[in-house]
Amino acid sequence: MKYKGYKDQILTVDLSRGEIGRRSLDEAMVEKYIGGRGLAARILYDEIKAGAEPYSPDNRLLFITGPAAGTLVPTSARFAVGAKSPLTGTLSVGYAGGHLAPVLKYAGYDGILFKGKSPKPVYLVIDDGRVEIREAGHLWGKDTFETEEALKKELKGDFEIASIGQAGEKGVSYASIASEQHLVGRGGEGAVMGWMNLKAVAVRGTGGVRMGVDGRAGIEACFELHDTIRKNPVKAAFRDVGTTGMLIPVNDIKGQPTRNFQQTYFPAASEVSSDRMKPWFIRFESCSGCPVACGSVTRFRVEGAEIVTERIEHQSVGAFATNCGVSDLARVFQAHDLCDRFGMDTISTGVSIAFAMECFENGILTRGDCDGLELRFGNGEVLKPMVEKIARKEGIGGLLARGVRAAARELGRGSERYAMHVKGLEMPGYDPRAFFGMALNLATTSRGADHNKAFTIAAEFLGVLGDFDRFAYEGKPKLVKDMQDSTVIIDSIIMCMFTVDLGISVDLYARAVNLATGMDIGARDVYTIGERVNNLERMFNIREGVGGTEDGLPDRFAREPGSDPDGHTVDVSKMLPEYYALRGWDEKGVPTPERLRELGIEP
Amino acid sequence: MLSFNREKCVYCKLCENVCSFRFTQQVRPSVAAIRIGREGKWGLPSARICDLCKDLEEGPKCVAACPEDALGVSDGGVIAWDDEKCTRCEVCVDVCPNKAVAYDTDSDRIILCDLCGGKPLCIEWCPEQVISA
Ligand code: SF4
Ligand code: SF4
Ligand code: SF4
Repeated sequence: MKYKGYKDQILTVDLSRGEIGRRSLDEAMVEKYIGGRGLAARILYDEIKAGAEPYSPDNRLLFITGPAAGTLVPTSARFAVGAKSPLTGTLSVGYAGGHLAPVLKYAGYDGILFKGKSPKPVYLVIDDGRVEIREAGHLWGKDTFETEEALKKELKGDFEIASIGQAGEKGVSYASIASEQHLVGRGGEGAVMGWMNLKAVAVRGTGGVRMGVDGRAGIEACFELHDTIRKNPVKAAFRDVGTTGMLIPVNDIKGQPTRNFQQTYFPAASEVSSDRMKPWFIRFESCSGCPVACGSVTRFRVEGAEIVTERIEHQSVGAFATNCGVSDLARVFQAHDLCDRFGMDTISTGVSIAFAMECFENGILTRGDCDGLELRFGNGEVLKPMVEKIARKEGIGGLLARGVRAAARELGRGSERYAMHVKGLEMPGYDPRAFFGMALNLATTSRGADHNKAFTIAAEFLGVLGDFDRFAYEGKPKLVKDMQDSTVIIDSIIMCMFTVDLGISVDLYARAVNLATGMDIGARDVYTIGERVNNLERMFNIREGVGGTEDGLPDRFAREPGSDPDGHTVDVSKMLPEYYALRGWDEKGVPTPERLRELGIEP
Repeated sequence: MLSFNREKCVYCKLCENVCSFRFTQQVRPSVAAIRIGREGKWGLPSARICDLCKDLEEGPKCVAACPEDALGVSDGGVIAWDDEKCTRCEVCVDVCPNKAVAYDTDSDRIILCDLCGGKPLCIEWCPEQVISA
């Protein structure tokens, strides 16, 4: 491998046979796909057979880093985990920060590819060149925080750990994988890990990672990227208020999904705002290699108990507070903290509870169906028991643990109208009726309703990436396509998504790749690589029968106005033809052979 | 000599990353002259840095232990390492009470804080003004 930044080695672990192997990367592949999300798309497309059952030996679970992990490139401590999702049936790749990714590189690996199912619970230990599958019976049933603590004691060293909690063990369709309080969320990668009987991965690495640059000049070139971030005024906002700083402004313009997306304005927003969290602040914490340190350790009391956890993000507020109509901040924090411990996605958990609330209020679910809980919007007391029931798949939790799409299919009786998802993935907390670009992005991303695949809010509202009319259809297909493509590089290097708002332009992402690897790519290549990966992900989904017909939003957004006095609704079908045309896809949303050839994809 | 204000450290490890890169031409925190550790989840960070053994009556342990006379206290107030005399026996690595000495296999050198020759990179790279000289 002539490129730096890589260790040129992926561990392969066959859990059925207990076999550990190694495979190398190839230069042509990293030139085309860089790392992280790009490599995940390529490797999983090749590894997972068409029609593979998510819970079967035909699925794979890939932990993958990018070339920047463990280098001097800022915010590069992120790792990705990909699999065919049990929630959506599509390819799903999630990301988390913390300290694991650099250490995996220092141990000598770019990633770990798991297949098969261990006959009993196990965990994988990587101690530089020594790799072992060990018995994990004593860890089974523990939550993610307890698992980490137990493993750190047992291994007596500076190991970084990724683990699943009870939700992953039980097969909650949106179970996550946690490394400290950083969770790989959304697509249920934790459930695939649980099916494999793989409780955790523990890594210690003492080696190094070379970069595409060296010497003083190399240090200075990397520092320029750090300095760009450090000097950006938005940095202070990520620190002082975090993403929850979005709540009040988004709510004010009637863009905050409320009561399961029935409304777009939450009257009690100030009670769950970042200002209310401030008194709970203890101190800041960072991921490895990041000059932002947006992690904020907080302490709060709920039901007489004191809990120390990380400050919650805007998405958790959207899911548990505004969408469930709950204005008791401590209970929202508690629900979020429980999700981290059980290892499950906060957006999907909260939106599933909100779905059940709307069913309850419309008589589709009764008190009896809900284990005696009064599942009404605004009833904060039900959050904790509901999160627990979902994680353990008990009673009503068993139904909701499969996600709103599956739950509505089972319930029937018109409940489908209340299932807020795209391609099976529960919707995040930016209302599409208030941001038409976001609407198109949510409708078209390969893993379902994922706001982070093109954070158009930066262009449609924050004004940091252009100044688009939120309600305009014109210009949005191009905006969304470009952002979806450029985002791929962030997910592939892998850098933190927040850098988009911190002055890191497409040119600078290209520079980051070059600094880490010694490649020589520019902004044009960024878009080409991004388009390639988006097309390959699309091809994966089409192979699974998930094509253009799934590019849409729940009906509610085209029919019911939210709280906006002007009554805006959004019809994604008005933007899709142009979006498909820009992508070189046919009218069914299928990439044409010509476009695939141009992009150098051999599916 | 560097000092470290643990209350302000956010455990980003940028100091160890840049320090190791300068010495070894790769990011290899395990051999950096500054190492940040942490006691458990949410625990306060602590640093391993050379303090010139200032609390020991007999002075720098590594200097005294080196059988080849390859270490000494320089005028600049750092431990100077003599590449020529050093046989890489790693006695200094073993005796340092702060674990502030390391041997890097790849670049084949002993790593000790030299204050970057006057302009400490860890201070420049630390985003929180935790470290001072
Ligand atoms: S390197 Fe260690 S042993 Fe040597 S003077 Fe510094 S603290 Fe003492
Ligand atoms: S001053 Fe230089 S040599 Fe000393 S710890 Fe800091 S970066 Fe390393
Ligand atoms: S760079 Fe500063 S904040 Fe980061 S770990 Fe080092 S001392 Fe702590």
